[in-house]
Amino acid sequence: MTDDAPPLRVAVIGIVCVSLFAALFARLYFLQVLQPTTLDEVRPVPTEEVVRYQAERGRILDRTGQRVLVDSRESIVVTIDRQKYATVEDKAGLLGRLSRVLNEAGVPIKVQDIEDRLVDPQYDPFKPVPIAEDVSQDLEVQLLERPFEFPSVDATRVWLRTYPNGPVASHLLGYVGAVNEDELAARASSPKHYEPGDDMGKAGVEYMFENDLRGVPGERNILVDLRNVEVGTASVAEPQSGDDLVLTIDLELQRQTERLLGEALQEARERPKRKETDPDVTAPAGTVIVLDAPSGEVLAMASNPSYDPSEFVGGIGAYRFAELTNASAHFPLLNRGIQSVYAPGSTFKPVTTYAALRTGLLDPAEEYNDRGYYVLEECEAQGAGCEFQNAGRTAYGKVDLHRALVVSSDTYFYRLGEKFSNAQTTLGPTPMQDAARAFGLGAPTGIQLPEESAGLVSDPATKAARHAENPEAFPVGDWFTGDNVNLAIGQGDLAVTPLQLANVYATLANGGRVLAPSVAKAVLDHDTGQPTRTFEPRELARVDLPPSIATDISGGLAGVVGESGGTAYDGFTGFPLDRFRIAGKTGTAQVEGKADTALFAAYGPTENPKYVVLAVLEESGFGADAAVPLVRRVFEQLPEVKPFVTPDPVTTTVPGATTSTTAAGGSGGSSDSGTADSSKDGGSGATDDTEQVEPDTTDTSAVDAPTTTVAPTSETTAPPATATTVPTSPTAPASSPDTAAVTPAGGTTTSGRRRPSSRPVRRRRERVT
Amino acid sequence: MRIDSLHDDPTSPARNVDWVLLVAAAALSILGAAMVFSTTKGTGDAADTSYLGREIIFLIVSAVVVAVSALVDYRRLREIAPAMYVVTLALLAGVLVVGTNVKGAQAWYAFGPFQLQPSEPAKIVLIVMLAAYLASRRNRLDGWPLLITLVLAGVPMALIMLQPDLGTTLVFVAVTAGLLIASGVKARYLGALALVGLLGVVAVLNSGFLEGYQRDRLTVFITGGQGASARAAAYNADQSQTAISLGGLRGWGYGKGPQTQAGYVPEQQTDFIFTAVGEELGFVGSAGLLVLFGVVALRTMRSAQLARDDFGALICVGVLVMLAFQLFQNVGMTMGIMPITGIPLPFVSYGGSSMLTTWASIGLVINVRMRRFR
Repeated sequence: MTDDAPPLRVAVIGIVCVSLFAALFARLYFLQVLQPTTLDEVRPVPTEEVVRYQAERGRILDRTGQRVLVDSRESIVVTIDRQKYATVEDKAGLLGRLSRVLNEAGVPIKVQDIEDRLVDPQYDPFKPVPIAEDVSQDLEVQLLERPFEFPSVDATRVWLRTYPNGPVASHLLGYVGAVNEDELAARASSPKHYEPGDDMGKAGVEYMFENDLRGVPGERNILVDLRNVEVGTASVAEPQSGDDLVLTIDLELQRQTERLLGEALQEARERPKRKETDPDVTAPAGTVIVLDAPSGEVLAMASNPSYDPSEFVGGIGAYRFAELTNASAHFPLLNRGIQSVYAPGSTFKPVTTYAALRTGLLDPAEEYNDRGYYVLEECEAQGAGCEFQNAGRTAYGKVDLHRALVVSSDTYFYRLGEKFSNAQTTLGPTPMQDAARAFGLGAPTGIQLPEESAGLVSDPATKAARHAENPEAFPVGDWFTGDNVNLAIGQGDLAVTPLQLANVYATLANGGRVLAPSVAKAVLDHDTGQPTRTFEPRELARVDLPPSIATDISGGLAGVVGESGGTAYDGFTGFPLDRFRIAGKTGTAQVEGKADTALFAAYGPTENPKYVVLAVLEESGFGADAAVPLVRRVFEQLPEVKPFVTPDPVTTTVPGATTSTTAAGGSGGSSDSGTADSSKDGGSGATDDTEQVEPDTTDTSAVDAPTTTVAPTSETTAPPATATTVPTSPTAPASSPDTAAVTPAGGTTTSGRRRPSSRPVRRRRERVT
Repeated sequence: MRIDSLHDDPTSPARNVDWVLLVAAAALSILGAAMVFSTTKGTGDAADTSYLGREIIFLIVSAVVVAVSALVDYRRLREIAPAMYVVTLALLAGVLVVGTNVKGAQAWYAFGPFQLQPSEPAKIVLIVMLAAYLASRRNRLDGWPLLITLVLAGVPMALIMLQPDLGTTLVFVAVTAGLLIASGVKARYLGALALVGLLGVVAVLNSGFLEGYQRDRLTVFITGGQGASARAAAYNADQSQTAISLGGLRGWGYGKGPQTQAGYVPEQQTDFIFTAVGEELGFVGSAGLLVLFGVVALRTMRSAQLARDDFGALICVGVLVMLAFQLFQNVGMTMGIMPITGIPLPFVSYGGSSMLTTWASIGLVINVRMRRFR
């Protein structure tokens, strides 16, 4: 202490302190006593807001109603609204807090991860960016209760599709994606309240049964104050779950069918060519359909290549979607059973047969001498250019109708084609086309799946119309005898979907009843499990099929499988035909520059048909080689057949036999593309015009491969096969949607599926007052 | 020395403990703990006692701290003041490097569940350091001594400003100004310093040194709020005033304040805890709280007058200015008569560093007073 210093100025400090206290007291007194606030002044009438909660989407079950194909699960997703985030001052603090609460809640995430997501172009710039999925309810509450600590952050509940069986039946099931603007506009008045970001079915039954599967969103009318903090609830409506859908397919059969289809395509790829000059067997795609004949229900429908619908859950990336819709991947999203069209080839012969028998044109017992080629009567006088051949120009000798079907004699049917032409005055111009249409070809079957193709049945009228519309692409508008000849063996302007073709055989099996194929059995109320809708078998039409005609056709088809020399006979070696008799027809559709499309359509048991099985394998070679063993193996999965199947030896024998068959076929020289024959057609007259109709397919004409040797006891038999042309070519300009749907590969129509946008947000607020 | 003689001697330190100050401060702390619980228990069925539990731990530690700081003769601080000052500077510098960042300020050392804010004890160290220096230079407080004083205060202030922590920096300004005034610096020097300070404030506000939200908080007090962060600051001010005003004369009752329990006021267990007092306890309760502070201030000022040396007196003045400034700034902010800066309300706001610092300063005041005779 220094004595000469002046006294401390404590009083000055004291005075300052007293005045500060006085100010505080004065202000306090003013606020609390002179002008106190009442609660009514502080809280004006709260604003009402609607908060919607997504309802659970209905499940999709297989025909048993027990096995779940598609399920839903709820997930809480933490999101950041990028627009609101842009206005946040303390961004680092926000992200730090957010990553801390997420980590505390067990979601390992770094601030950097969140920042990366916020700039990820994968997410829609106008939708909140998902930061973490499947977080706990506690965290949801924590985030929603503290909007001030977590500005721009939201926790929303979403329902996500789950697929317990992985990619099985993906083409039938389809997938869901975010509703787009057009779809939203179309559903503006829907009682199910679609909002941007909601999911809806985009393909398959998810799309077709959208109205059943989608639930009614729950609604909470909440009262919020000026800070958007909830202060009360005006009304609540719980969400109502969507209804369950029971399909007609059998999960196990579907699974096995898909597996067998994949294996068959792999086998086809590995099988040696019959001839060195044959195009490569790439076997890129195929389809198998199993129908329940009496009801028209689809028991299995496999399409390969396939995709995994779970990739679409929560939005699929643009890059991945482009891959799935790419030609080089052979359009995995395409359901080939209904969306692709193919030339039926010889599988069409039963329809030709029906037309000939029904009109009385044909005596089934009459024998015709198959010399291996057929020359049109009308130009025999001219001597050249009118010849149509069997494959390899093989002669079958004397054949009646039965034998012609069994060995698949093309010349027999060429002759029928010309006979129809000659009988125009009495039978009219289109008896074969009429029969085809009666069996349901040329029109969608009406199955409950989207984007079904109609196929094409051409006749003089449609050909003329096509020419009139686009004379450059279709320079010939007249219908010639050659057109009829081609049509008789399932070529020419004829394109069918596999489902249509399967349904033709179902109609044969059902004695003429044309049923609408169906994939849906019933819609069940989600809560009670009681059916709200059921789908009974629906008869579309009836083909007038007298028993005598039915017997003639079915007898021939049974011979294809059961008689020595039948084109499917070898493929069914060892199959318990005595217990389960099968009738069917092979087909081999030729494609310019590519391997043949292999077809086999069959039904059984023949006494009381229950199942129809059809296989179509693109670029896979002869129907007998590729499609018959596949159909056989699918039959072996059926409960009526399975117990009698000799295990391993049979299944291993079939590919072995096929291989040796190929070798024998090569040596027999039985198969040929018939290119030379086509060139012979390049003269004058009616057949010349016939060829000109398809300028790019002149090289592909049909020839039937005869079975030269039949050795029932031997595994090495000559290859039975039919060869047909494919109606269009890669460069043929399309003048109608139907022809446009046919592509050179034997039918891949691409469908422009909507691209699902990024992650949906299911809960949002909408200011109503 | 015999015990009875110690009791008999009216000048003995043990006979001169300022119980009034101690009781008033303890009452404030207990009220504070109660309000912390009210604002943090939540609205659920099971009350959240985690904040209360930690606050009680802080109070227990505070009891030890006040005992130690009162019993160790304050005159010994004079020798160790420079060492304490250097250690404090090291802590303030270190926190900028290894500290934890909370809400944008790099101001905390983390020790497990507890965090130390070194700028809080730095207040006391600054008071002791300046008191020691000014007391030794009382007869010639101009030129170099004045400059050295300003440097002594300026270095820790600069370090704290870097965190950044505007509120604590302002406390340092107030304490330094108060000590300069009390120690008798000539009026013309004070006037010049005030002018320089004013120019400095204007320069800082117009430069980019302050974070945008800090400037907005300061200017919203005058401008009324333009822009997003200014609106948020204005919102805070508005909400706290509203809550206090809602309290009226008698308040809504403990634990029943509608705005407080709805969590409408941000930071209401720390910087804005006075709003809870105002709303739940009304004018009666909050004026009572101010009275308790008044008692603490009066007893502290009295100790300054009674102190046996300038060092002790200046310590008391420093503590008085610190407490008074924090009280006025904090309560004034909640009532809309001061700009919003992050300063805790002594004794009442939740937080260990603030609590321990406040009680240590009370200990020093008791220390000075009890040793006024020898």
